[in-house]
Amino acid sequence: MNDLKQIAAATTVALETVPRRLGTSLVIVIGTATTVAVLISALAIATGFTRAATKTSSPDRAIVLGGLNEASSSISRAAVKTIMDAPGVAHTATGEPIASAETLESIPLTDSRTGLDAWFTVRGVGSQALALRPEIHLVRGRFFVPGRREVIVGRGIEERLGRLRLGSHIALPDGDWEVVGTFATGGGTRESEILTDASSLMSTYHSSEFNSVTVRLVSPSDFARFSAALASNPILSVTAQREDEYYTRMSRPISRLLETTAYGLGSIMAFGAVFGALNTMFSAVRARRTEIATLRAIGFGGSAVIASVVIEALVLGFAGALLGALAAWLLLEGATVSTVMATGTLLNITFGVEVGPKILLTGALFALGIAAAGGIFAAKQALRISIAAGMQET
Amino acid sequence: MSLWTLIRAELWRRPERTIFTIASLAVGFLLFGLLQSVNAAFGAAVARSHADRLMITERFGGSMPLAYLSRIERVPGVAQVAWFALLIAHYRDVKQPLMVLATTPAFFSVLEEYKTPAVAVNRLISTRTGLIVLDTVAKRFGWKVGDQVGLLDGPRVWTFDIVGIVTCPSNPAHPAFAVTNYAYVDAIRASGTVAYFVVRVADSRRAVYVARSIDRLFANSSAPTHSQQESEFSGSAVAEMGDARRLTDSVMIAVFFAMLFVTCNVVFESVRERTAEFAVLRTLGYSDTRVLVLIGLEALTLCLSGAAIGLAVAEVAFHFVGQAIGQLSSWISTTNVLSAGIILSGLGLALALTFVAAAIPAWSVKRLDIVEALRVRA
Repeated sequence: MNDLKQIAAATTVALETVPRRLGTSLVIVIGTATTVAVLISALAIATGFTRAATKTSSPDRAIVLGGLNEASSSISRAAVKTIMDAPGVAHTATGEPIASAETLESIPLTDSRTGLDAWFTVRGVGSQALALRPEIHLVRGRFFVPGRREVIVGRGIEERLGRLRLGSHIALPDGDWEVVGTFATGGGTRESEILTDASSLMSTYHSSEFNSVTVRLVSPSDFARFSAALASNPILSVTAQREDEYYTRMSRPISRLLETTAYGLGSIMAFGAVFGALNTMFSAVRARRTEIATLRAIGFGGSAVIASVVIEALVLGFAGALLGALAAWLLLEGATVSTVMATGTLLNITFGVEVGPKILLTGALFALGIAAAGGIFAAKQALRISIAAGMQET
Repeated sequence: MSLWTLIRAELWRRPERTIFTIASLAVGFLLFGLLQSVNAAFGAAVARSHADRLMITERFGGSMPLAYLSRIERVPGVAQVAWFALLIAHYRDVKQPLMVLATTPAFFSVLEEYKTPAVAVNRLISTRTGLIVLDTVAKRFGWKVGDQVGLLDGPRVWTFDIVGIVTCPSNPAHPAFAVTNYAYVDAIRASGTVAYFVVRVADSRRAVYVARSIDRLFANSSAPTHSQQESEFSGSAVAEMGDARRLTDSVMIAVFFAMLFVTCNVVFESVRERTAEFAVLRTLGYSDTRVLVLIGLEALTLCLSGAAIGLAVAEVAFHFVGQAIGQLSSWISTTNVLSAGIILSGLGLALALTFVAAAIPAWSVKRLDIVEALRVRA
């Protein structure tokens, strides 16, 4: 109890004198703030990407592929029928399987931000696509009418394709198709696609094979039954995967790259900030020499002195963390980033950055770690101050 | 007493402070070196990619008939045309993919960044099933010239005879590929189509015009073309690698701000501690300028030491980072070393840092009232 009182008293004295050493104290604050700001921003981008890549996927949907990824996979019309009739697939009230056989094409369109051509994905979907993906909703305009050479554009790329307003046209092999609507899916990679109906798209490209079939399962637990039925059918050479698992796997290489970059940058900056923190706390101990010697002289224990130094460092580090988080939040608020995701072809995706509690906590831990490192070494130095020498006027 | 003796003495007055400062500046310069090199790698892909080359693809991602070749060659301004079809195969396991470019020897004269000995090209011409593989691929799979290897492409097995090794000096981490005869691949696939035409134009200033002429030629065919200058082609790929540039720039600003703060603070604190000493120096006849120079050189020593250590570590670290970037895309080339330009701009940054950090303390010393300063000591 006595110890705690001593710690409280010594820490109070230390913190009260911080304003007198404002300049050096700010070094720790700025150091941790910049580290935390960079770390949080980079992690927010990584998280935003992973979230976008996996967001609209659902465990009660399964994607069936005839290859490693959707772009290189092909499934024949006959196989599509068999897949949709497999056990475990949910049906509409009228008895239609809730499933969509889809086809992918990529087309070059001018990115209005860079003025350069970039490749975008056009996805042809089946007639039950909306029942399968209730998250698709219109933001503007109307849905395409199958067979009428119309497309709708995802909200995620709308801005990048500045020219692509309602009523404008995109060039496909058989001529211009009209943009009749803009859709959203509540985030996710699909918002970076252009949608139309599969049969029109296939006849335009003279193709007869689909890329994938996505089905809604009666319940997530029906996946095993569905998957086994496809695997045991000797006519089919396809594999079924839960939709969420598929998208997680596809996004992993880039997620990992972004996360490694975030932690790499954060760690290097933290390492630099530790030296700044050491400077601050050594200087703080120097400035408090007389005070520390006095405390020791009147019977304060070593632990009280150590605690006062370390706690001061932690308080400054935490202030830095708050400042850094605030800076990152101001910079990132509403920001979007775009990148490519390789799913066989390069798919352009645009996503929002996300600062969640987990990221903030990571930032705070980095800041406190930096401060603690600085504080502990300086505290050891503080213990070496001899009472006699410290009390002398310097 | 020379200035250097004084500077050394002052810097070692508080050795831990000097060491911590240099260390934290070194980390800042390490980041500077790494981030600038990453930027340079992305930038170089655009700048270095040949402005006199056009990449032609089928507008809608399909393939083009090889018969286009003679029509493209006749377009005014076209100097040379290479082309290739793609065979995406794998060796033993789907997890070991290998992209095989089915082409002709013209490939090596148009795409000059790929180096292979003339004898390998000659063997490729005389060996229908010949395969020239990238050096890193040969190493990974343990292949040697003279080996016969089987690659899988779905149910099909392709047999190749390795006749040579190709290297890509501008990107040591180039993604895996190999080159074979178009005649061999197409005899089996019987498609008569190619994935890319690569055109070298006679005059790079007319490249855009030539690209338009070619696209117009096939605009109404069943396989319209899309011709892009290679710089634009790789530029769009690089722009899409995430807003890398914007990100690295923001990080640099944050780092520079922190470094500036650390340096300013240290110089300021060290000057304040020595107010009386400066007064003594002035009394001894040191001129204003000499004292300013003393403070400036002290700050310079800190910054340059930090820069030297940081950039040296960056040089070593970039070896690994560069390799990671090279694997991202064949269009981004890295040399695995920091360029002289980056080192110079790092030193420039050190000078700027010195100037800003020393300015305020130097100014306060210049205004120093000697009598007042000496009284503090007494």
